[in-house]
Amino acid sequence: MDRSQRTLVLGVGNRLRGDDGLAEVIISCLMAHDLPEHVDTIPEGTPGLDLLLTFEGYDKLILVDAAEMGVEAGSWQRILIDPADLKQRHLFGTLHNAGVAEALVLAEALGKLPRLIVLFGVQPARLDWEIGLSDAVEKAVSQVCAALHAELTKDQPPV
Amino acid sequence: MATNVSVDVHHVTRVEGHGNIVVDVVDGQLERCEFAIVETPRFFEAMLRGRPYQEASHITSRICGICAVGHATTSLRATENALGISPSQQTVLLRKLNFFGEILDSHVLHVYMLVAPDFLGVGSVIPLARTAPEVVLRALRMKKLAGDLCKAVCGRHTHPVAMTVGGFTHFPTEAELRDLRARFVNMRADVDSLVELYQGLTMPDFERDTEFIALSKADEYAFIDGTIASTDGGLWPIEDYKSVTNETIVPHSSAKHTSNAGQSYMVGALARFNINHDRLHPRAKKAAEALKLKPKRTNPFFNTVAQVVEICHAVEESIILIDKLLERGITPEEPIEPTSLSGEGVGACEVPRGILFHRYEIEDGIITGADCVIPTGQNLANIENDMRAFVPTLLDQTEEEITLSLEMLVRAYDPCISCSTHLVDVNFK
Repeated sequence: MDRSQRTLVLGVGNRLRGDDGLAEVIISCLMAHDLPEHVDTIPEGTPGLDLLLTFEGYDKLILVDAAEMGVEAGSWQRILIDPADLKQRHLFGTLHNAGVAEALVLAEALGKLPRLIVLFGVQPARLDWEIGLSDAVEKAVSQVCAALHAELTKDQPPV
Repeated sequence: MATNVSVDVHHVTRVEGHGNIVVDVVDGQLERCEFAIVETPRFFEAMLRGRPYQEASHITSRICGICAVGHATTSLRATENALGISPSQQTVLLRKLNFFGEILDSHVLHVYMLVAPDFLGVGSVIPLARTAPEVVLRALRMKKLAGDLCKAVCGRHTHPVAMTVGGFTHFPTEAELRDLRARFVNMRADVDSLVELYQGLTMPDFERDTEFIALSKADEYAFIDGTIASTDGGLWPIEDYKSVTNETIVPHSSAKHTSNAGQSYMVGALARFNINHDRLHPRAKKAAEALKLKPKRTNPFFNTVAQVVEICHAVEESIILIDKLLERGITPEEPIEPTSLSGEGVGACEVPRGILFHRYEIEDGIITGADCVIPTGQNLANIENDMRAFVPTLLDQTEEEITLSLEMLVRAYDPCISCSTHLVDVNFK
């Protein structure tokens, strides 16, 4: 499949870790809507360098993840990732526990970043061993889902 | 020539976990030389006590995110040996295939991402990605295939879900196996490129004779089960592993050291090669020849080269195993039930970093005792002995160069430090 005109909505997280499972819930909500033909969805991606192969070649990447932003639980932000910021990052000593950031940094170095990268980050209340979202994050699900849907439907494939 | 050298690498990078190199040379004399392990002990053996035997492979798989399949397989073999279970031929074939997925995944990470940057004169994989993107993309491609293989056979690579005592709870489809086979055949070109890459790298000139220990089997290059074999000539059944490993506690390490007959020994790809080289696939033998890897190689830096040879072996053997499975056809089998719910058993596998032992005592289906001896722990004393012999040959270099050389030596062993820190005995007086 040619990905060069497609958009990937990629959720990252673990539903066994409380609010870390928010991406899966949000993207499942999104998938209940009619989505444009050029959109692919992966609700529950696993962080690691292999993520690079998952998003490589896409025109646009929309990441959904729990993000520690030091704000009230359930608050969320749409953040445009600037490749220049990735260029200045250096991988930590070990690649044994690489995550989303490392995959993006490596993709930048390889010239394999999608043209546009947007992160929908949601502030978690707790990341513990439990299934289910906190009330604060649960309340944010429909808002983030609606914002994602708006982003995707206004977003026409490039010509 | 430097007469006073002080090296203190606080956490060696590009290894798993936390270890420090501490070297002091005073007036040309090596006064202190330690590979200090500062990782917290993790008490997995204590966690197993009181748990049903069916949980052991799932709990111990969490010892390592890289060798999850290796720990799970070793755990299952220990449990099966304790409870009188002989797995079916299909289970044996599937476990071997699955195991190659893990060997590939781990070795590819090490030879490309962790070691190659040292030899190509770059600090990490990021500058390597800028100067040689095809090398890094090749590595990612190979890792992806390894992960997809494990996913097809055992549900996923990290912490397998479908491997269980006596068999599997999920089976790959014929279509999945055919797809994997085609990708492995295509991977041969990537393996050839990898061998070419390593042909162009010069390993540091350092030899120190030591004992190499690995599992061995008469008819194959052993990864699962076998007899403990030594380049010094010993052969032991796996049940006697404690007489080979002889764990001891040292003050500067939260991981135990081991010694056989009072001497340190080396485990891992180089040990396997030195003992089992004649049972490698012919293409892997050719790769070894091209890489000037001949037994008995006593330069520890060649452990990485032996991993390259094993990557070649794993690709070829995976194709052979897939062909066997396709020929037989996959039958969804029920796992084989235990003949007894009490017993003691040892499992041993050659995981990427060397020989791994699990030993369980089970009473009425509940684990009452457990012991896990991990490859990196077995290598620690040997790493220190290598450092002791290596440092005096480096004294004409700057402290920075000495530090890099020592880090490269440690990295050659591909240490997985978190896994090795399993138990510390505390004596209260």
